[in-house]
Amino acid sequence: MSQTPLYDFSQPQRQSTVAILLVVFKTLKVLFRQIALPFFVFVFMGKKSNDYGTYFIVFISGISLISMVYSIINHFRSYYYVANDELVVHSGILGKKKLSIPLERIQSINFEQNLIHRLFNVKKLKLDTAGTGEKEMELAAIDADKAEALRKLLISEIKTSNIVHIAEDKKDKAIFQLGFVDLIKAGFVENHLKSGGLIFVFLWWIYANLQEVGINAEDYIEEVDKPAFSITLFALGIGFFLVLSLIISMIRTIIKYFNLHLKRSGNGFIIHLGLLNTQTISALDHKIQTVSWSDNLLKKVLKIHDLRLKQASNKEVESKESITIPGSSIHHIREVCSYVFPGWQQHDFVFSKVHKNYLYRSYYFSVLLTLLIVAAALIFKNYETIYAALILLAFLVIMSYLGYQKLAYAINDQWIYLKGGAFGDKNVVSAIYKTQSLKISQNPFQKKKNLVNLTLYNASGNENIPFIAESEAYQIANSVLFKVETDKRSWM
Amino acid sequence: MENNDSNIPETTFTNTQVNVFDLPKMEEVQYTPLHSASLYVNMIVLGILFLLVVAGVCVLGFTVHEVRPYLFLSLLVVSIIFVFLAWIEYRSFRFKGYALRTHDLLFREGWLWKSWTVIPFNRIQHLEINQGPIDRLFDLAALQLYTAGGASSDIEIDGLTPQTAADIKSYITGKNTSLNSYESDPVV
Repeated sequence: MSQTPLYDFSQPQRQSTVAILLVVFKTLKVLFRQIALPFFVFVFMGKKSNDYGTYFIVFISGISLISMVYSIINHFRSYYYVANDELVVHSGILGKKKLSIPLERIQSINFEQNLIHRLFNVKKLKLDTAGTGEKEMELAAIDADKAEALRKLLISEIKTSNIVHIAEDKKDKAIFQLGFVDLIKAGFVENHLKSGGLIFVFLWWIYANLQEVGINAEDYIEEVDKPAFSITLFALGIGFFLVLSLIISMIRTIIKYFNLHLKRSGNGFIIHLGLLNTQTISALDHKIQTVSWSDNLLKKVLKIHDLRLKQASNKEVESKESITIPGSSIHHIREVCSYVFPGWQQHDFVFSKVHKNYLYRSYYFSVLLTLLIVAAALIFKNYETIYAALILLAFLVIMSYLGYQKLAYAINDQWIYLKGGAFGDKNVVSAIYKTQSLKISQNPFQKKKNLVNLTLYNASGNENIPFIAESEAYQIANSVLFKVETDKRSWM
Repeated sequence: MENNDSNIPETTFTNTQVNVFDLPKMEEVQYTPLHSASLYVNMIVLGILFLLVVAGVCVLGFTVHEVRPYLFLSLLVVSIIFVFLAWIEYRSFRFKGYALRTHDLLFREGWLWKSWTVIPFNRIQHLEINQGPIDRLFDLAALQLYTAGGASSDIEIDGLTPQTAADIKSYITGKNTSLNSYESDPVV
């Protein structure tokens, strides 16, 4: 640690030569994907390789090779450097391109490593910028140390010097890390329906592909004797499906969140995760728009939550800008909140409930839906469906009731806190001054009772408070507007 | 990012107690209605649509034998629907309006389902004046306000005269100096 490497980013520099290897690898991957299946069909399925097929393979290979050579030449002609508070990237063979990004407009700086990156200790740098029309920027391969130094430079508040020392990691404070047992736990309580859906998609994909190469799966299904339908078989099928879903959830969780570290660094967080492809994501406090955490029935038993940090994003809320940290305990969440919302105290919040009519409306909709299904069942003389509709009604009524019981909002001097959920609990907190705009809306049914909906929009989504008294909504709106219009802090 | 006042040191930041009842009230704002030509434009568009549908129904009625007995009835239904649509158009025009305050812009719209949207000037990312071909014919323009809050929170004030649209735009640009650097579209 005595030697601290110096990197001078004001000098134009090239990416690591590993980038060339990455280009080659990527080309091979594309070729494999495009050609492997037709090739397999031609060679092994006994179909005669016709001219069309050969031309196709030659064409695809040619295009891939040309683009590979282009990328490699481009590598030697690309430079990046930091000057005048801008990150500048020069590239191009025929027409020269210059892309410059003002440092202040960089929204997030993230690293990614696939297996090749890790083998050669390099990192892929991804930058997201704010503003209309601009896209994200990538540097395919930078030496790991250098990448870290560059990150420090890009996020540092002192932008006077472009020379950065690394190895001042001592300041970073670990908030928590997901051990292997925690990971297993987190995987166990995942939403297995999602994994179940994936199985279906996968099976469908295999089926479609088999048909494409000329095998009709249905021919084989016919050959298998159809066993008599029985409850045992049905239960077995369900059981098998559940176990498979569980295993897939586990594997997905482990691959995605392996060795998850959440660290406090400077005025932001660094999240490191991944088994095969590792990612380092940074989230700066002032760019975080909402902090939310939620659980489900299983997670409640283990007392763990999914913590979500949503950063400002240009597009409609998308997963890319929202960082999910599974397996967080309430202590970790409080710690994160205390950083993002300085002076945060859980007991500062006085929660109010929304009007009972919100619950009644959910009941009306549930009954209406059930009646429609029952009517359809009567018309088509499909009487079994009525039982299903009644079960659905019971489910919807319970959902509505729990949802109404849990829905609550609190707005104090600085923060907005929304609670919700049905079987699980959901908490969303955001800072008032980060509000972008607000909307009050009213339908004819609400008008009679003087009720309105209030929606507060921020740069990562919106928070909706339905069915509150008109006077209350206007009072909140007026004070939110006052705070937004007088607060000089930047919302990102 | 666009906020040029982002680097104000912590020490100049004060946070005095404010009585919520003394704050400016958004519910007491007087809204400016849109230019009446915008109602005519919408009515004309609706009228053209009506004629097209009537023509379609007539063609169908005279060519297909099975439809013929119902021709009068369908024309009646179509007429009722379009009268209803025109009435909704009229009522929503009556309600639609905007209001400018020192620090924000308010916009209300709807008929049975009403909404009031407020965008503070210091949160506006981008301003645009749009003029479609029909707008140009009637000398109208629309002012669009973009925030980082997403498409559902953006406002488009249609049915302004180009002069009013430009005036509002320059008023807002004057309030939010960081918008100047992003001025891209020429003032109509």
